[in-house]
Amino acid sequence: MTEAVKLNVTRREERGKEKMKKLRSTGNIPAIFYMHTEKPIPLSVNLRELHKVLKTGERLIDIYMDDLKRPKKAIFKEIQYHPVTDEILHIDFQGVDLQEEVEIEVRINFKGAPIGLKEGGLLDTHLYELLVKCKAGEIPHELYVDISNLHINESLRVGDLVFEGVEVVTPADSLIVSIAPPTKVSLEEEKAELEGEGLEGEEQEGKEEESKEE
Amino acid sequence: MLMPRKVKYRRQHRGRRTGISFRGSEVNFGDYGLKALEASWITSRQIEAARVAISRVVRKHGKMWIRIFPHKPVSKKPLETRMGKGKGGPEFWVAVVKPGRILFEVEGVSEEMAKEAFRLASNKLPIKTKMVARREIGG
Repeated sequence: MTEAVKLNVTRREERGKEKMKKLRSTGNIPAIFYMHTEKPIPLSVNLRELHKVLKTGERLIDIYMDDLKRPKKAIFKEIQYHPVTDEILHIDFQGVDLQEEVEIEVRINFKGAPIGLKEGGLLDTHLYELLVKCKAGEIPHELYVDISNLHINESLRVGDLVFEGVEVVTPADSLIVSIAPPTKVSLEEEKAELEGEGLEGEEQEGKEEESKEE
Repeated sequence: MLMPRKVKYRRQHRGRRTGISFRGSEVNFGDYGLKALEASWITSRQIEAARVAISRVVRKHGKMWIRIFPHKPVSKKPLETRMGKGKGGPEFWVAVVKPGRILFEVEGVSEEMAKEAFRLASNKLPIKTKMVARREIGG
């Protein structure tokens, strides 16, 4: 169960690329709030305040608009980042009703070290997030998945797991993690490398001996 | 070394390297990625050298991905040839990289190990790079 975090926003009248550039230069970013029962509301959010909210890791937040007394419940639907600087460019807030079901991607937290790793296997993570359907007020922070019993050549699929309070939308046959055996190529490469080092060492020793003889 | 198996036309124009890379700018497969901060042609030899540098660190513990491919042929005229008589033959292959592009990704290694692997790899590349981690929300 998640607790809503507070975020203050202001309504935005300006539109367009140039005005948004100016807005970003003042330490704010453009955002939009939408809900299926309401018209979309363009917003402006203080970047510093937003980073504090994002740091908490909560998905459900209370949006306090300057002209409304009651906050609006919303989830982060999309965050756009700059490809080079990684600054946040724009945010989509999806308004939700706490009793309404929403589809949202929730991060998987893997618990335990697989036995297969001790046996020399390699951990392959195929899914980092699961798409789940649940009530907006009950969005889990993370989904815990125990992988400590996995041996080499074993895998875990979405269908193998049951989570309380959420319905998993990701197809049941999707692979989450698997333990791959150590690759033959890597062993061969390692051998070749060791041999190479050995040869280099021998060559160097030989040269040193030659120089001593001289 | 990486190169296309078959191409429709053997020679290409040089093109322009303006703008930034919106596609391929997120870490999608592994935990950490190496992001390009400049635009450049990266040759298949440079990609291979960086791959070897990363795999030496990562091999035993994790997995790696190469997120770029040298699709573009670069032609060159033979030495001491007079101008004219047509364009030279294809000499090597390059990947056109723009700022923001993820070049390599690694998985199953610690942050320190990934940092070291990418440091060694970036020494083999002709551009400035930075290490980035997978995003938690809204990637």
